[in-house]
Amino acid sequence: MRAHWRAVYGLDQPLAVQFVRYLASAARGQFGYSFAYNEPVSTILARALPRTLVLAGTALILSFVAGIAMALIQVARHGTPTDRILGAASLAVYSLPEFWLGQVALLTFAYVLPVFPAGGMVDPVMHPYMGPIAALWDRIDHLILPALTLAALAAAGIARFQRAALLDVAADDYLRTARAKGVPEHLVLMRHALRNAALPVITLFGLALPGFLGGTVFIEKVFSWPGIGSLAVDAVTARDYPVVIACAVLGSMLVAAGSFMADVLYAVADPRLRRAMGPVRPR
Amino acid sequence: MRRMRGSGDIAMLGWSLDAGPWPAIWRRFRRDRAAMAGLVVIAAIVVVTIGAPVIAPYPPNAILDMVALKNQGPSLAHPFGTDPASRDVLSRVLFGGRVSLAIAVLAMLTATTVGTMYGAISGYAGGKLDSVMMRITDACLSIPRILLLLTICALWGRPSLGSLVLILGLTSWFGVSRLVRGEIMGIRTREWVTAARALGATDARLLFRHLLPNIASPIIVATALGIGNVVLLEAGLSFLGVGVQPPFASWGNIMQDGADQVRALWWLSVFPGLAIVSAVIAINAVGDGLREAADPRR
Amino acid sequence: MTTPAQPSPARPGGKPLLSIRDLRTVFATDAGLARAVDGLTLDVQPGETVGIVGESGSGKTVTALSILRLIRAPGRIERGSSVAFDGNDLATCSDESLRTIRGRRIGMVFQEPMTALNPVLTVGSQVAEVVRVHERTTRQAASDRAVAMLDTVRIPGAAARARQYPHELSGGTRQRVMIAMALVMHPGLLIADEPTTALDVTVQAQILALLTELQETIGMAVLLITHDLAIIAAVASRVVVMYGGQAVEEAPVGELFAAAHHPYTQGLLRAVPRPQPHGGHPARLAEIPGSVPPATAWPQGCRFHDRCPFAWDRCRQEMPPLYPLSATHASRCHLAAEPGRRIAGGSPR
Repeated sequence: MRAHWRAVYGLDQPLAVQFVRYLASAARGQFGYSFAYNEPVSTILARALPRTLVLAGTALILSFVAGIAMALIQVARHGTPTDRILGAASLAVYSLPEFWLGQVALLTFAYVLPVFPAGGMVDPVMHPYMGPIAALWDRIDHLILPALTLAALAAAGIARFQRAALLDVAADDYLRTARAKGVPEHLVLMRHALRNAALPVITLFGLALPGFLGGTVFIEKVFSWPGIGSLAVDAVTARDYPVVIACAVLGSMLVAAGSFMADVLYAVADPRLRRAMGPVRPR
Repeated sequence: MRRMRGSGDIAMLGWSLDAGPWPAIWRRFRRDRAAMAGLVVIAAIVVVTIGAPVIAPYPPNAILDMVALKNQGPSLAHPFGTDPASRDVLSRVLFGGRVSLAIAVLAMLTATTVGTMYGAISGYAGGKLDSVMMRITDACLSIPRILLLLTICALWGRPSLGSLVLILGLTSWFGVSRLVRGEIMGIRTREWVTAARALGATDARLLFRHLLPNIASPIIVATALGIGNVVLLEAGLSFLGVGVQPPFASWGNIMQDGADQVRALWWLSVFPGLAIVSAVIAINAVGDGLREAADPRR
Repeated sequence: MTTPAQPSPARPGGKPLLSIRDLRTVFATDAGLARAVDGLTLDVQPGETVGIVGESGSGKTVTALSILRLIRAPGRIERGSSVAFDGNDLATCSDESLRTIRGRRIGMVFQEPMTALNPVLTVGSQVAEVVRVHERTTRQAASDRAVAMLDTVRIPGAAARARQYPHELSGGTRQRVMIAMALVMHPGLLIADEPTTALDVTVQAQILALLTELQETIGMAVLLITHDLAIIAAVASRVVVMYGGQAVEEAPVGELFAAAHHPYTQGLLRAVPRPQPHGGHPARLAEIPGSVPPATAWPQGCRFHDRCPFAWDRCRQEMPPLYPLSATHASRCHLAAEPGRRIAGGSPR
């Protein structure tokens, strides 16, 4: 019996062969077979991935917008109480565990003040009967709390990083030149400082992705969002190894894609990286 | 008479390095109120957790009364309530603190040691070895840490505390190695390095006695901030059930007991959570303060 | 110690374009309050070229920045300082008034063109920015003026260059871009802070020639700040020597070189290396002994006294005022009052 199942799963092959076969199938999009769900892992992943992308994508945009805005405000009011308060706030939020913040948010906004639904992606009972507008709103309604929670944490980290980057740039001489030309202060900040401080943020985007996707794991669990994160956690509890490993691999692939995009963006943004394609440079 | 460094009139405000960097760093750190507050909080938490055997009203795993005291909310006898196994949550939080903090510190120290060695060798050697080593690090860095840890812990079964330190430590060194490599590459072309080499210093001696001490501050800052991060990671893993295993208590796994009934058993989530939050905020405040003190921006 | 503000004696008559009175700029540092500029009084007439000479730590760059109020925390311009320009006091006027003067009525060129230019914007757009910030014109019109200005500063192929980034240009070209930025609005005053220090010697000469030519074309005054006496000799009509945050000597350029009065100026002039005729052994470089004291702890009395070969008790106790030696020449040295003390080989300390 055991020997039969071992042969079915290919576990009787030498370890190296198993590894290579795994990589080969992974490249083809086949991640094996899930113990728990009795389905091919790739099917399960394909179902869960879009849900995570929706959540993570929304949160990503929100967090970058909020984070950069906060950093700008802090730098414009550098040294004032506003700067310090915002700095303390971002420090505090940054230090919170995602799952705890999720639980607190859930408690506050779904139970104590019943503003948002308490988890899930759509209303489990009513959704199939809703008209298109209502259905869309239902989805959004369920998305808001987890996305905001995830975004809040990421925004704090981004704000901290971007503030540091802006302050580094703030010491740069070309800002002094701009002021000496009579450029108004708000333009100095937006047109000169930010353009240069945006470069590290693009790098940050690439570097922060792994942590971001890790954060989705907890948020999905707390808010019962059926994406890759919940999948991974449940699989771990059930010792469903193919699913766990597939999630890790998928996560890495997402990060790799994101980093690649970030690299491209960086080259576009920083003219120093574009190779001079013209004729011989004059001296 | 003290000589002012630097050319140009603005640079005449430059700091004097006569007394070495550390006294000035400490002086600046002292003036950062948030960082000092963080230091006080950490000290308090450390004292309280070390003194847990003395302070805690009950042993952390004592099952007090199977029926009557199960899942009780906070009360005078049990300020943090009791858990589903009728254990006093306050005591568990105190003892759990020792576990969580010890794991975090030890894991981060491991990570820093490994990462510094790796990064120093890579940065110093340069060339092909450096490229290969950094490719490996980058690949490791791009796996979302939680997923990596989940995979390892799932495959491991039930990790012991020591194993957990190893697991967390050996997955946290990638960032440090990148940092160290960058710093080493930044200073290995300086004149004084060439001078030392001309005086006959071997590579190893150069590395340990000259280069590493010079990049100590960013490494220390990264370690401090890293400890906070590991506390969060361990809490997360324990929360999901794959970190610290019973009978040991950690801040994370206390919260796990209340995870499914957040509303009903709120004290199981709130109090350990507050402990984690205050510890990590304090650690981050100190880390920030160190970074500002070591490299002040005007 | 402070001296009462005295108008510069070297005033050839007529209303000055820029009038600095008792400028004091200080910086709050860890080690105390650094008095970078401590009581500077200076006039610049329309169309003239004034050179400010001094070594590192003399306060000359801080002076330049203070005129346009470009000093940021922890530095500040102390109350009582006044910088009168065209009816405004730049030290105290509103931010908006100051902004309209910067770049439009007063242009500034900085020392290190690589860091002074924004690396992610094309040089053309950076020059055009000056126009757009001060006048309501179309993007195209501003851009055209920028290209025209780049041409005026003798950058070959200006139109193509305008689309390039700072890192793609040579040092000399970058400095020309800076000059273009400073002059595109035809200001009445150009402040040039060590404009050629970062450049090769051959390029230096070109830039200086360009500045002189533009000055005549536009008819503007130039305040040139440098540590290099050769540049002063070539370009300036009047010179102010700074030491210890103050002016220690003022004179027309010819007179300064021929008949310097202040021991510091004399020391500077002596320290210029001179080639010996026909392969003689080069003479040992005459240096000024000692070093500049820190701006947080200026010595009492004359700030130069501990390095001066002629110093006596009065110098250690009493800060000399700017003694007028003639209508155009002044010196902050007690030797003006007691010339008999100028003995050769006196002890410095």
